[in-house]
Amino acid sequence: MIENEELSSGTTHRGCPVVHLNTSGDSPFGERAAKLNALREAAPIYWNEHNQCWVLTRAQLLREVFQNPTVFTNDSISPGDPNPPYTWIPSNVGAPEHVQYRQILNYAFGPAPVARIEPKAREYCRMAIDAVVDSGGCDFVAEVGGVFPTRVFLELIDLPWEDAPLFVTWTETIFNGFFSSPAALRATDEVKDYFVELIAERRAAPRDPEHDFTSHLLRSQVNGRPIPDEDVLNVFNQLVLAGLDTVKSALSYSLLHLAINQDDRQRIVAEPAIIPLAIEEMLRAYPLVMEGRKLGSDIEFHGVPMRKGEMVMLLLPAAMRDPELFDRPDDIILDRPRNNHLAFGGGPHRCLGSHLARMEMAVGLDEWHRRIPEYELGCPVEEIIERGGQLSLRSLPLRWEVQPRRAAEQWP
Amino acid sequence: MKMSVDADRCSGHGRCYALAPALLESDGDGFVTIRGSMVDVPQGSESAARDAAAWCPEGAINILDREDS
Repeated sequence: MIENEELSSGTTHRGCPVVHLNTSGDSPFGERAAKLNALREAAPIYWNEHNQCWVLTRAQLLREVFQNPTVFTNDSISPGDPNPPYTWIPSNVGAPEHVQYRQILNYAFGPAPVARIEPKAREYCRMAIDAVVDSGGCDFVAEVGGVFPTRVFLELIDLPWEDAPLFVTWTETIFNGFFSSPAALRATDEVKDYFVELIAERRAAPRDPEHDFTSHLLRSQVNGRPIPDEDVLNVFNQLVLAGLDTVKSALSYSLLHLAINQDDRQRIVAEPAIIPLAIEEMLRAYPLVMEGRKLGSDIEFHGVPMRKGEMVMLLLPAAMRDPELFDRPDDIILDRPRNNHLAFGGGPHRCLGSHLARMEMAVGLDEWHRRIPEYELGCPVEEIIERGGQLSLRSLPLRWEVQPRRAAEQWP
Repeated sequence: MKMSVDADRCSGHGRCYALAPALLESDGDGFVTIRGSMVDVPQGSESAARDAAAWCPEGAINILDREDS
């Protein structure tokens, strides 16, 4: 629960207001956004006594941090934990190794390989929609949003899509347990075991690296040396944790928005060409990630003395509704012009999966509205619950009238 | 009109070439091919160039108008 009511009566820390901000709990949809907006309007920089870190709320400050990785390093990106017990690659890697890792990973995540896989993504998306269309309702999060991006992800890194249910369960468990509950730690071990086994298999029997992502990683070099197995494992861990929960959530927020804003839904149905712009607006209005950076040196940042080793938390949901950057920031304008949002972060660590995420969101919105153009929320909006941490929806009940179909009727 | 892309700021979001595909394109890593250079904007593409600059999340694209210089 967010407790910024406790804007501690005048308490300051090195000149900044002190806040008690715990973003990890559940809250009703919309409540968090309102509170984070209020924080942004009251001050650009806070000290958070909840997890002992700085909190930045305004868009321009976030951009400056993203673009200055020497001072605001990626040694940790967990706001409450300057010394995490894990290493995510490439998130926790700095230059020059980071540049090399990104080039290696563009094998699968660059715009060209993502474009190549789009037909497959459509197929998987249609499979997921086919499974629910005749039932007249579904939990979009569990039955569609979480299903097809996982299959696409596995396809992209040349793993069997039949393993998708394993990954769905693992990522759910890890994020629900905030990486630290016994169940989350067990799931983390199971992810590790899966990839340890995969790496051993490919070491023993390498495949054509032009057609197998794992074999490509195993033959790639960083600083002139092959990547150690432990770091290959860290790459896979990050891809799983960064890539699956987020697309599911972004699609779910989009469908929620369209279910409760019927004018926007009708516009998507009537003008599907608007989908690429609409996606950008959904990303801007509903950012999911509130990550951090670790101070690599002392700096006076906008008048605030910050010290080496401290963490700053980047409050994207507040910053992406910053009126200094966006007109009418709380209005969702599907074709918002000049939408230069930072939902995928910025600077050298700009989300590696952004091209993939955009493609999947476009495919998801397009295919869903071809097949199920008329739908509504299956519960009162007050019952929609947001998960904290990396934001998500606990569930999204949708319902629609089942259209009798002729046997020969196929996808339009 | 000329446009330039700051190599340090450009981080491959891909907004510019998605918004102005007739004017800009991606390299193999997803960076706009003119990253780090300044080019002439062909006549008729001025508005596309301005849009590309405005959409850039990093503020990496600069437009130089003859009238401005």
